[in-house]
Amino acid sequence: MVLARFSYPVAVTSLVFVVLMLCAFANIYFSNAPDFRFWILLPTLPIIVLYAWDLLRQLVFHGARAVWIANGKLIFLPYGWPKSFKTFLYSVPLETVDHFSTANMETGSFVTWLQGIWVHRKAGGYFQIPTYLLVEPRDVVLARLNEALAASRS
Amino acid sequence: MPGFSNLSLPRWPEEDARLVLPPGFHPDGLLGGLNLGARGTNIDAWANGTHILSPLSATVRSAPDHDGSPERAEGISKAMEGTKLAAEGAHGFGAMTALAAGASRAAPAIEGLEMVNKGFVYPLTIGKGIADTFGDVHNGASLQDAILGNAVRSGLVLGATALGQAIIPVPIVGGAIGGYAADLLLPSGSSMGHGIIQGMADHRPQPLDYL
Repeated sequence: MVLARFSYPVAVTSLVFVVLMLCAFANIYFSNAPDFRFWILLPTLPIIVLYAWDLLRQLVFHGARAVWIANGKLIFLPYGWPKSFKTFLYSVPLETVDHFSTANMETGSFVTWLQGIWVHRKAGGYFQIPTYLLVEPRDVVLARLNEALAASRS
Repeated sequence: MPGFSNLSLPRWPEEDARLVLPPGFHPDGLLGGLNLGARGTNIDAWANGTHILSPLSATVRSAPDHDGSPERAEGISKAMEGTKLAAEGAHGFGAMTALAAGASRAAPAIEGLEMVNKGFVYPLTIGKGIADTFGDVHNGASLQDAILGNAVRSGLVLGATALGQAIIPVPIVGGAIGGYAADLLLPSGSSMGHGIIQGMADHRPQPLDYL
């Protein structure tokens, strides 16, 4: 059951940015002009590639789904670090979810105005769903998530 | 009417200003340390290499006056950018290590790095802009070009950082890459400032009487 889908303009912009960034890094490397900043940022590239690969797969093969439920698990593309080195997507069993809330994303930098939904776990901690990347408004996504959570508990 | 007397294009008044030279200094300047206009110039001694160098030749030879300031300002600028990226890179590396060890984003090490980054981005970006301003001024840019251009440039780098942080939903990394790309692609601050100021300047129209 799909709860929310990616906004194509935003998702495609993100993918284009990643591709351009990879081209720029390749260009810097092959032109023998890498500076210290290049080497500092180079280790983060696998994370970006993993994100772009998962986003591309959802856009092309799954109708741009961004948040969905399968086999009692809530699956979504998070704002955060990848779940593992195999996939960027998070898969959270609904029975481990305590509640959802709206909040801005914690980006770890001065950017504090990006809208999102926090998935609070019963065990503590939370995950972030970046709703500014989605077609549906944040309140609509939150209502659907609450509905799915209530259905899983009944 | 300016123009046809010497078959050249009209000149602006400031172009007609004569070069003011010290008394006795030949307008052709110094020839290998020999002041051609000085009284009693001995060209034979100059040819034999036994002449006394004019004090002005030392001035010419030493210009521009390098005291290491541009290099120092550039070094400070690079150090600030490096500190910012080192924190961001350490964040990325730390996160990957923590993930490999099975930790989550809530691990104290990652949270600490995020706090460091949050506090560092603004002051280091602004500090880099200030250091770039000093470097540009020491390299010959005018003060207003350097201040305006580097202020605009710092703003654009911060904007690119924010944009990268939004369209790549990975903490720190998206912003770091956006800021790096902007810093790499944007022209120098003094060039931007010069372009902006010249773009706003009210140029006098070229007189058409020579047509």
